[in-house]
Amino acid sequence: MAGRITHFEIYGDEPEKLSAFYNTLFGWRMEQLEGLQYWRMHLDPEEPESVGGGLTYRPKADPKGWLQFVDVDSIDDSLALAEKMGARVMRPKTAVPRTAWVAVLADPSGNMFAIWQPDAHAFPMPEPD
Amino acid sequence: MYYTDNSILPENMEPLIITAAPYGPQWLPGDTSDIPLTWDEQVQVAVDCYEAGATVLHFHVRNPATGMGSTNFDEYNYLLKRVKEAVPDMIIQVGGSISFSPHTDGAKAKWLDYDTRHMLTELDPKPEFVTVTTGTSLWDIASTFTPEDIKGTHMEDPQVQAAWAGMVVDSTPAFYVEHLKRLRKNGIQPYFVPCGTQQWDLIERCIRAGIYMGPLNMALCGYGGGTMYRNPFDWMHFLQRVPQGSVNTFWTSMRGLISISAMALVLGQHVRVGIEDNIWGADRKRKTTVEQVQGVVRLSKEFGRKVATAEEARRIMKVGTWYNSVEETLQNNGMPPSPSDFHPGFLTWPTDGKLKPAVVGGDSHPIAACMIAPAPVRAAQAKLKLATA
Repeated sequence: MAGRITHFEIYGDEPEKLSAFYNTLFGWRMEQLEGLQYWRMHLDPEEPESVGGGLTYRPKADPKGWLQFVDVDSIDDSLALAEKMGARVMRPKTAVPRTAWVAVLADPSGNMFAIWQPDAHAFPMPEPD
Repeated sequence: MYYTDNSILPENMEPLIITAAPYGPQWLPGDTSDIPLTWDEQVQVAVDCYEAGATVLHFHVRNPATGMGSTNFDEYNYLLKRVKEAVPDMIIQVGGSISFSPHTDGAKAKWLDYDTRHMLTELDPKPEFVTVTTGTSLWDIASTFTPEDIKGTHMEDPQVQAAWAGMVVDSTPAFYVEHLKRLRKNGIQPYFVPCGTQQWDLIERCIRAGIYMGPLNMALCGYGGGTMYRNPFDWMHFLQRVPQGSVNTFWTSMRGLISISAMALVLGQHVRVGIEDNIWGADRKRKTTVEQVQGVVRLSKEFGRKVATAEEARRIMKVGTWYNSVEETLQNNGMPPSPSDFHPGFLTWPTDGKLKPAVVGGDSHPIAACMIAPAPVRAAQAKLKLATA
């Protein structure tokens, strides 16, 4: 639902060690996705399959701190509105394939957050390599 | 290559080796119906292509979490392992020119100032082949596309076409001489990708200079736009230039691939099909990679040429074979001995695989950067100058 926080991500240079840190500190179940350096974080022991967020390597432009993802109806409209009000785009719109569109913004005070538009047809634009 | 009276009869040809290129990094869902995304899909497409008749897999890795081409060494190794477990007899040909992004501290330190394309030579499990380009070229894949070719795909957007029109494959001697040495050291064979006879000349010089000593497997690339176009005389000329012992695969794009594949088939050469090159059938309907493999198998059957099994393909391409001298390499590849006055030229310059600082050319001639010799050569030139002064 638009406006609600959907999940959050934690970044680090040594994600495996960081994953163990949060597992020990909070008891979160950290599940590494097969073949990827990405850990799903299961926060609620009452609902062991629910996913509260993820942990992975730090993207270049992102801050130190947890990154909250906020659900939006239209990522394009939200990006335009946020920029109009003085936000800066830190990570441009990209896709989590077959899942959602995502972009990272910094508000006029420099606080970073992500916006998230669920879309089962999302797919990133191919680039020449 | 030499043709005698009966060379063009199918019973005198080697069985047809079909390479499948199913990963289609340039397409979006909707452009084609068979873009593999998840790990399971990326493995299954290899299995399906093998079962349809392809014995070589042109291998790319797509990160399932981002949907983008992977530059992660561990992800390459992961998918290689899974594909090898699923289709152990299939020959894997990893698409070269991947600049990996090292993640771990150890890898970052090791590769700090090196060209990370050389990480391809350390893949584990080892693929049979890594593609190697010799010579930097423009690869404007969009230059041959007709409006009909890209109808209904995201490539209809002129901005997308413009982006692809600027694709350059960078392969100067500083890269490929070192890359060939590292491939040999690690037991991975190069699959050369010349995009015209001028790049075959560079491969020949590598052989005569003793930089490459092994069988000659080549994919002639004719995508146009800096690589060869589809003029059949150019393809015939290429065959005329390459040695009898070479194994050649023809690659081009879109429906042109159907004609060029047919040409390769009847000339005793080999083919590559799949959505990385073409998304259409002869009936002008979209075709998946597996359907394209099945189409080539049907065509080959009609012509009377056997389709190679994996075992036959390994024999034909001499998988795992290396030679130990220039003479042995020349002889096994059906090449005449070097003339007594052959001079290998720049290929004898030492390289180290390290990235060189970019040199900005003046007067709109960035190519001037290429005229600056590597440091060891400049030292040798200075010595020579002193000696002759």
